[in-house]
Amino acid sequence: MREAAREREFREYAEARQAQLRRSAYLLCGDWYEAQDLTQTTLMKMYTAWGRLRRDGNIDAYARVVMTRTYIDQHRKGRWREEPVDELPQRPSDESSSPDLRLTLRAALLRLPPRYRAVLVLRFWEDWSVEQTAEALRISTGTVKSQSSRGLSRLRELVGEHMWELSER
Amino acid sequence: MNDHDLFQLILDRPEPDFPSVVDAAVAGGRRARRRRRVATLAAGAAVLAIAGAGVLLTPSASEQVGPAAPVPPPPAAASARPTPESAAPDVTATPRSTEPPTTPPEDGTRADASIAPEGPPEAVEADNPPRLPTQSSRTIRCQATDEGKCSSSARN
Repeated sequence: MREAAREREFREYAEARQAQLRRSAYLLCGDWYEAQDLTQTTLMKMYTAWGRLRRDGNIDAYARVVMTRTYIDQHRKGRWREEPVDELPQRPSDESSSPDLRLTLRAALLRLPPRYRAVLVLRFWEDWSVEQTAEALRISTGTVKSQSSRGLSRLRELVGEHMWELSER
Repeated sequence: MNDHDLFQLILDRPEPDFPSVVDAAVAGGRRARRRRRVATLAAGAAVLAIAGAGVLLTPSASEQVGPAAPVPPPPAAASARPTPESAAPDVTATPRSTEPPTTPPEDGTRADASIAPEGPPEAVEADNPPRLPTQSSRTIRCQATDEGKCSSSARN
């Protein structure tokens, strides 16, 4: 009975948040299918700790922490690697307002090391503070500051010629 | 444009249609929880087993372990003393002429073929296979009795 209520609660939360989690995962890994896998792994880990999460609160922050750590761990273990496929899983879309800029930004973000990317996503996409980011990634606040600064400058450097387009927005 | 918009721009594209991952996440989470429970139970059982074995195998405080008391050596002839059975004459023995000569033992006891050698009975039978009594040995056995007349079973 208690288990059924617990699972129902988790399902409600997961259904409501999985799209948002997938977008954050996409910013981390740069591929929608990898993002889908990362979202599933994150939700699976959350399910195992759901009882404690309900008591402690701040479930969304816990989800971001689990996702970011899982992403960094998987990259560290080398589990995520490119696999050749016959057909492209993602079809190009034509509804984007500025596909070149978006692709350039995405490519620039993916050229950053995973930990830099995680810092940038948590700091500037999730709007987390330096302290929250440091706690989530288990690094010092000074490291968060330096990595976010270097990551942003490198991102702007990689975007390069598209900077004027960004500044007009 | 701030940095948040920069990430928004990367996401500025409709994402592909994905099926819900909630069912898969719940199933995977259940498996992980079951594995964790089994691992916890197994570890607890192992700890209990080790602790129980340690309690059982530890010598109690009442038992005092000390040097062994000196034991006097047994007399040398005691082990070689013949038993009454072994000293009895063997009437079933085959004639001595067919057997190889035996050397008498050094302690002066009578060397007799009926003295059973030390060792398991299987080994004795392997060395000295049982012999069937001959007609002459039956006659000697009958004469050794007081009745002087053999029964029909002894004759046969």
